[in-house]
Amino acid sequence: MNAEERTRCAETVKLLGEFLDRELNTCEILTVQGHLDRCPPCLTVYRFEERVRRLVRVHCVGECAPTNLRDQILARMKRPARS
Amino acid sequence: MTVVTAVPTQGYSQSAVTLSEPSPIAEPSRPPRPAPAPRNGVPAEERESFFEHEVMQHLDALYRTAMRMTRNAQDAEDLVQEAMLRAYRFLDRFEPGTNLRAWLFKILTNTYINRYRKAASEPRVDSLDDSEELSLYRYLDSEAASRGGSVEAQVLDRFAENDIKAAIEALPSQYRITVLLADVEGFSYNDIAEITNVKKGTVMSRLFRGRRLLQKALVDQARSAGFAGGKQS
Repeated sequence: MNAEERTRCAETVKLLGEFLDRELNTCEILTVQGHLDRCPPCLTVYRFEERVRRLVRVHCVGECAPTNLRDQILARMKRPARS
Repeated sequence: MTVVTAVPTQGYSQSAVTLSEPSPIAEPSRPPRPAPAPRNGVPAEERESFFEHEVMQHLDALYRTAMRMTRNAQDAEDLVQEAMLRAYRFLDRFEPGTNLRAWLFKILTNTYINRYRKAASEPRVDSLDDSEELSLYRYLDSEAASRGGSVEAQVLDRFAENDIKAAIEALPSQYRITVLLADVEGFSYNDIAEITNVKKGTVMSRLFRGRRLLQKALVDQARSAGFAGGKQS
């Protein structure tokens, strides 16, 4: 791999976060996407990052508030304000 | 009791793509407000019903974030209660039609900071060396390949829910909150900047750093559990 390609890879990996967060502009998206299409190692890094992110979401998103909390809040809301 | 049934997972399965939700800041295409009074919050007579039907829908999301913030159920309940009551009191300042979720998360975050900032000393952030600044993937990958397998199979697939939560909770709070708001709740950088009261650039660097630290924590955990670090022993 030549120096220029290595720079491309480093730049791409640096932008992966924003790419996955959909915060890049169209031009940047095309650049990252173009590189990922041509570079299997970077594509694997992309998949890994995406995977970790999904793990975090999947494991945290299912948690629900206890039912008594809902009732307590509504009860306190309807009570005149104190303290 | 019958009216509000929160649907905790609604919308989050694709939260990475729900970033186009109206944002309280910079939303050029927002329709013009109908005959606005200069500061029109939720009218007093509608406040109770708005709270029950709109605000309470976000209870689960606020609670799970509070759980990661405080790291225990009792504190999380107290924090959410306080934040919700503040939200109720401030409803006259909430402008209907703007981003209620972001507004509530901002109240939650402020409440958390006020309550806990002084209480707990933050864990120190170890600095990351250059190789780790990029992605742990390549490093892990070569380790995994030397044992004939993929990182996914050897590391990622083996994490249980509690491992992930523990790794998140080990992050210093400013990184933890930023990562949660982005990765779990799907907020945009602009929303997170507004919620956490920092510049967008700070959000970006906290996310970058926080995610790296999270990966590092996961790998360390995997090592101590003995499945990613076979080479070391």
